[in-house]
Amino acid sequence: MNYSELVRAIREDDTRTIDIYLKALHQTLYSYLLVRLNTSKEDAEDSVQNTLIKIVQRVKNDKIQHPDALLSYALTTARNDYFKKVEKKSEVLDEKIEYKALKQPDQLSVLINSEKKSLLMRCISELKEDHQKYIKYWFLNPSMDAEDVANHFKISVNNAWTKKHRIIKILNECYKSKLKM
Amino acid sequence: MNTQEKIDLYVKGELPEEEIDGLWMDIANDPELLETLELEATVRAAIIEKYAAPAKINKVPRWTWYASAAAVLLVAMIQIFRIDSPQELGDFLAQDINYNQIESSTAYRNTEALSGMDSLLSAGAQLLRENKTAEAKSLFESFSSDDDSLNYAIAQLNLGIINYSSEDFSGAESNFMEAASFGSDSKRVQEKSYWFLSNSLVKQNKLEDAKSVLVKAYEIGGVFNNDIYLLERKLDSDSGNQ
Repeated sequence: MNYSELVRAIREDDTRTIDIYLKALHQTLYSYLLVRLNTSKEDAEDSVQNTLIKIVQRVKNDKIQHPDALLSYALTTARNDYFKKVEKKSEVLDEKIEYKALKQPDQLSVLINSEKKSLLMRCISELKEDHQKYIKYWFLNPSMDAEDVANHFKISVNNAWTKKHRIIKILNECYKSKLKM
Repeated sequence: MNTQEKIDLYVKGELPEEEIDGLWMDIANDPELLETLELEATVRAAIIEKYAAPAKINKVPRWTWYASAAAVLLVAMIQIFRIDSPQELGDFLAQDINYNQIESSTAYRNTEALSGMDSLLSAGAQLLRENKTAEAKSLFESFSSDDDSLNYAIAQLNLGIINYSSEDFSGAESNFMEAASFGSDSKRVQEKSYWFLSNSLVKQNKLEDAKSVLVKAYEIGGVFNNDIYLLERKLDSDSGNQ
């Protein structure tokens, strides 16, 4: 995404382009709050809405010009908006709220759809045996990096990455075809 | 490190904390990366559930013709968790608390932000690779808790690994405890410290203390969670809580 295009669209009131960019940004910020701060879906939705409104206002007031600054502002604002909401709810100013929230492990599980996981489990069973062994080894040994995996399977590091991407691609295609059935 | 590599580490819980927001900036720039992240997280979850899920001993198949097989399985599971000899309890401990686990701070900081103390940690790791254990130990001991807390935690973690490898489990216990207390800036360092601390405690037969530490380690939700869960189950089972 070229966010300088969003800056231009807001300035020129190009609503169609604004919609496209804000929709994409909405999805990222929403997932960011769910995963990073373990927020509820309602809180995430509120904070994202507030953030998008603030972005539009700041661009209109010429306070954001560079697209990188826009993204950085978006993540920080979404996070701060959520912290303020939590403080308000608890009715006590807790200086450690942000600290505690950031110390929690990221909740990548919120991105996981259980139906998709089930279908992927079937797809994993249908992989060729060497692909199964490979992808199992990759994910069941999280502390091993690509070089370790490459050494284990006696391939180059580049090939290790390529093979992993190929298997993920096969699994994704398998999942999509099962979804259509 | 490219974005695909960052996603891979993030999904495996290995991406340094200070790089995570940068990855989310990359995702905001390219929303397709969110699909990649979601797909990889789901594939990993599917693999773990399929191949590495802890034994579900309470779930006996409802079909009667599965009953006998299930009973055999159940007995086998119970046997696993009722192992009494120290050697078999040892099967649930980390088998690789050795110099391969030595940490330096380069994995936790931007290269531009590396300080002299960071270089000292790397130098200590290098000394160990050259089998100069005494020199490495003295270098790690020179770190003080008044300095950067993450560096101090990593130095203590490394000292713990050295002591554990030489079977000084009491010394290792003190080091891992310090590392866990001062390592809160890094999920990975803190989880590893708690996990290794629990192993040192089991080695000294301080099983109740080990169980309390395992609870803290599990709450971090990192890469050792499956191992932590299994050891916790084993200790619970041995103490008759299952």
